[in-house]
Amino acid sequence: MSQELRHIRVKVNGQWYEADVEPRMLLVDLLRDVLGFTGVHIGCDTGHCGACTVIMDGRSVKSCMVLAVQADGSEIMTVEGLEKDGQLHPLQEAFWENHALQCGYCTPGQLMSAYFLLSRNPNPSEEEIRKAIEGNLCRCTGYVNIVKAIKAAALKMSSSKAG
Amino acid sequence: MRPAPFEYYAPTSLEEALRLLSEKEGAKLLAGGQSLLALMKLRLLTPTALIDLNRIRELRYIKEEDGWLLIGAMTIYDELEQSPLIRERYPALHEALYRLGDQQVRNRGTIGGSLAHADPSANLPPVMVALKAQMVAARAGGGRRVIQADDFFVDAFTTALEPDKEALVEVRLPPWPRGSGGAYMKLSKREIDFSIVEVAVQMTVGDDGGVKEARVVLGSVAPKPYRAVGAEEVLAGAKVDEGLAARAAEAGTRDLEPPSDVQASSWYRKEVSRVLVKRAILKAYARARGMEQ
Repeated sequence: MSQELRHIRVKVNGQWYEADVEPRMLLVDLLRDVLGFTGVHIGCDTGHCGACTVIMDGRSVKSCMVLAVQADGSEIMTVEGLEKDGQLHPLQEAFWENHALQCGYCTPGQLMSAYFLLSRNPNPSEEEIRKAIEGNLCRCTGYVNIVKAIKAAALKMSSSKAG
Repeated sequence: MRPAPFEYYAPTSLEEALRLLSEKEGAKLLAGGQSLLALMKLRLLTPTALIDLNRIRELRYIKEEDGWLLIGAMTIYDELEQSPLIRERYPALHEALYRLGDQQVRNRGTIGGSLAHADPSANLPPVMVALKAQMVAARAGGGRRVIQADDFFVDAFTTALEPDKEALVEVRLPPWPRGSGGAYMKLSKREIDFSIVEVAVQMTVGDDGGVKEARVVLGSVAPKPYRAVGAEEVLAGAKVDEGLAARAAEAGTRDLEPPSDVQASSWYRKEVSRVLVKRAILKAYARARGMEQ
């Protein structure tokens, strides 16, 4: 069965892109294979691991659980969008400083889930941080340092705002 | 991993979506997609067409009307979970939403999608039955009907909606009088897993401390939400303490014959059901009496 292609426009990390996609193409495949944002990882492809988490119109979503056509007109932010002009985002710095990654596979997804959390809760408790990343599996089981890093980033971001 | 090919429609009005549903044979409605897309990627489902409801703004709202809470079917879990009104008035629903999936699922999944999917282990169906919710079904041409939650869930993954004709468009929660309270509890291996056993309790307690009305509903133990009528009978008129809650839990779970699967044996599910029903009754009662948030 041949598939009619759909023309879509998606804003990724501040820049508009256009593509012709099959309706069955997943958002994660558009981001990785068509647009080249390979920082978006595919871990399980079944919606369980959270490695493919991106921000879509302000909310964290698993990009393997959204169709590319559904993102038509949307604003997407991937892990590549965190760094600005060669400056790491405070979350990235905090992950580095707190050894919050071991193999690094889950890291892009962890960062985007943390980004969503801090976007609406700048000062989360440890429980709130753990709740926020429950959809992101770290098979190295490095959760303790991930939680530490998110806490540190929150502090850094709120003090830089206050200053 | 990709779904089999399908035609894709993204209507912007409900009427257009309902018309497409009645015209396109083998089509399915796409809500949040957190179950449907997973099943399609595994090729367990191969619909010929998807009618995406995500661009229909008129289906996304939380509003009050004559004391009822009306929720548009395409309202996402996260918006409901964050609603102070739901937290205050329907604590059982708030707890079920808080413990539903993970943040990414709550950012995408919808109340209507979950209820129409009618997974026997999903968080929301038992809560809807406990709260005496109403489901509003719509069909092309403007036809609407109201289905009581008790009648909405027919079997595993099967609802009273007429296939290829009706869509769930609104969930209506009735006002519960002063002196009401509820609780939701579940056991799962990991927080993001489907429940092994779950229970929703809603009750109204009189000024004398006696239970005026109680609804006790289990999930994951039968193909559809299970009313623990035996427990409701023990609670009727009673003042609740540890001993009474234990008797109610025993009576409510005596006839259960839960399934055995890779997660848990039938025996284990039944034991956990009894324990959770007791705890949820005590919590709902304390809340109804204003003793606990």
